[in-house]
Amino acid sequence: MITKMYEVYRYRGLLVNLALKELRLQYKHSFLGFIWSMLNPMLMLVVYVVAFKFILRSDIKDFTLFLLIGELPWNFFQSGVLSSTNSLVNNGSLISKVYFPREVIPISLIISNFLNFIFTLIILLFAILAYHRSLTINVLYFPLILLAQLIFMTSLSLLLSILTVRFRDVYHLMQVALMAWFYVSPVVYPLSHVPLKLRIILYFNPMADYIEAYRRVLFYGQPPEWNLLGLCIAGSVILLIASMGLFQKWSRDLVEYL
Amino acid sequence: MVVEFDRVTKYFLIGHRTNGIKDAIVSVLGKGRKYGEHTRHGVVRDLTFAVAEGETFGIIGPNGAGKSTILKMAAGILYPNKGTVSVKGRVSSLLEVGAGFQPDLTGRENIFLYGTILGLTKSELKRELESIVDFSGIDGKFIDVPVKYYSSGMYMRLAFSVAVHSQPEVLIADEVLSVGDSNFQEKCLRKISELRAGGVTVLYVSHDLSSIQRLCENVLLLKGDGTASVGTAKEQIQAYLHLNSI
Repeated sequence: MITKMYEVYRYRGLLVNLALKELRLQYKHSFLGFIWSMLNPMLMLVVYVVAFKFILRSDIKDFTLFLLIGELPWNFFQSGVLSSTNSLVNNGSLISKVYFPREVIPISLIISNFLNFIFTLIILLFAILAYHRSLTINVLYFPLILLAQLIFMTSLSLLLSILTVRFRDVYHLMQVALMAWFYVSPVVYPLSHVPLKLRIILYFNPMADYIEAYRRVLFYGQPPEWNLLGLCIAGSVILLIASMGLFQKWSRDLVEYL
Repeated sequence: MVVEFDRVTKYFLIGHRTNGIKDAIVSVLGKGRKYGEHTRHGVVRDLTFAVAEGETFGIIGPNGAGKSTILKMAAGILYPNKGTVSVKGRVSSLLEVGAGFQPDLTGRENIFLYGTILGLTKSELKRELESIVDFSGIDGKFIDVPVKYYSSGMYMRLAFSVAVHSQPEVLIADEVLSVGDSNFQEKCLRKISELRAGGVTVLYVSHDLSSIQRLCENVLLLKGDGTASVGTAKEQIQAYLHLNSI
């Protein structure tokens, strides 16, 4: 597994290039081009604000900012996981003709979505300024939470992409599952609004813990809850190791399933 | 030995590998084929050969005899069902020229993308960029044009050029010279000879027997019935022609 990680590192040029290719092709023939990666989350934000502030009348202070802090990492999670799920199948013609460590394909999609996400943080920064919120020292925990989310996403992308090669149903299942996952993650509501019994179940959802942690750090100016975050990171690392193992095992005869 | 195949057997399971729920239901109802049923199609049986460093090794045989399967195993794309395949050093494979090219990206962007697919880093590619473009013979005004506007010859020339500039230690080439005009084919054959002189090991598959004769010392002849033999280029080509004439 260590040698595999080194091999993936050796192909870092490819990793970056595939990620950039994805970004370049994404908005190639659209008039607004890369502006879409900012416009898209903002338009979705408008939808959420209308639905949850004006119709369902959420009583949270600075609700728009509250939403945005949850929405951006969630979008990153959803698009990163969904696009990498189908990535091996989509790149079948390449995989069956050239050798390179296959891990590169799903990971490159996580990277391209990550770059997109970093870009959208500009919106977040302006929003924080617009709401006259000041950032506290706790904002320094932000990269750590992001890293934890990245580990979780990488392990899911490896696991789901290799599963999809054998069971194409996984992709269709994930489309629905991610929608359900959105509602069990505290994007449009705070975790504290969830009845206690249910809340305990939600703690097992790493995305719920990550979104709560982002909110604590960026919205409330508090440090993250270490117990929860620590457990999540440990869980993500274990999942990553397991996914890498399965991926390595199944990628041997990957080509024959494509 | 740089490339070693030791009692390699490879078969494919034909057809029914991804049995869906429809097949499962159909088989329960007792109609059609059984769920999970598949046939084995043997391609390579008990194959052993070795290629020394700096050697250009040819593989010939009729369609479907397993030439590409052997190359894919050498490249690490397929794994053998039995036996072992070992290849030492940096492999650059030209199994299908231009696999990995993105039609919407420009020639220059594709050089970087394809080069990194072959395992190069960005700085290595920057260094080689000029000689890659130069060798491909593509006009400077086309290099920043999306490759979907290229002719198939230009497409292929650019891909071949990237592959031979990727500093391979083992070059795997499958029918790469079938596209491109005679001028460029000649250039490619010269380049392969040049690489060989520099110590590069080449696995070369072609139906063009004159280029096999010209480039290769030893040749593996696949007879199409699962058997194979290794010998000098001259005798193997004769055996192949004899095989065809029966």
